[in-house]
Amino acid sequence: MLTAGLDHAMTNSELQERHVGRKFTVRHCEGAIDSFAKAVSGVPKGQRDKYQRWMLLQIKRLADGERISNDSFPWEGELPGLAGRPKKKFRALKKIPVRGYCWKSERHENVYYISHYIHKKKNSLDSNDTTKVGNNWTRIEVDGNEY
Amino acid sequence: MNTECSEVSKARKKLVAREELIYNLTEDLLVLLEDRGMTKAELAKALGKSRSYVTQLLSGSRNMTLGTLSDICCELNAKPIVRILPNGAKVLTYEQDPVWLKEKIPNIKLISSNDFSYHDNDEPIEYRHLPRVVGS
Repeated sequence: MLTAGLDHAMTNSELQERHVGRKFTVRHCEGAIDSFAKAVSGVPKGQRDKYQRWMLLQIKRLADGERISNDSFPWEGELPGLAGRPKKKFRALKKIPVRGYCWKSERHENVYYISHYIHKKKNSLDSNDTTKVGNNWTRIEVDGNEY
Repeated sequence: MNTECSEVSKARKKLVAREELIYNLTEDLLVLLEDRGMTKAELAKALGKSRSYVTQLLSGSRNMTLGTLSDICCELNAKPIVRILPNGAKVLTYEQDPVWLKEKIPNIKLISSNDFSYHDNDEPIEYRHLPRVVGS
């Protein structure tokens, strides 16, 4: 059940390692929150706070299990995949020029992981980002690290 | 000092509330646009506006009047419903089963076929039916 009004997490406007919503938990991989600071360093200083609040709204919507448009949550690249099983794709929480690459965990039920954030205006996916997401995915989904 | 802090906190709360409303509204419209298989360019043409105008509206960078919201919804064959709820009011979402609600809440009041609300100890509780669009 929802309660009308702003919750504390929103007025606090800080990215947390873990955001628990009505349907999912969204977790930041190690170093992901630091990568957000780097990603927003490319936008004018006065707007950085706004980008953080906007990203928090996207995380909250994702955690609450509400639909997000393909515009704001596009499919990006392939995850490494487990042996004998088809590869899955990862997505990006997008507020141009900031993107947070994430995937839905198969190891942990109802958990999304945000691998890292980048600053990018173009749509094409950089192979370095695919590698970075893949490494985080392997650490968590295969090796069993917590985040 | 305390007054100053309280003013800053109030201003921040207002800002966050405003951004939350804009983000969720524009996101709902983008989802509906995709469900209708319509592009922003097609919506712009239907509204008689430029594509950049629609892009700005749907990215939240341009303010939208209630009239424009109504026009967009009209083009998307949808109806916007604006509700003002007092802070702390309980809102039951579409995940909750209306049949279950009727069993659990005997004094539930039917407003329309998909919409329920009731008051419990003077605390307004509403059932908010969110459109789940399948096809057009």
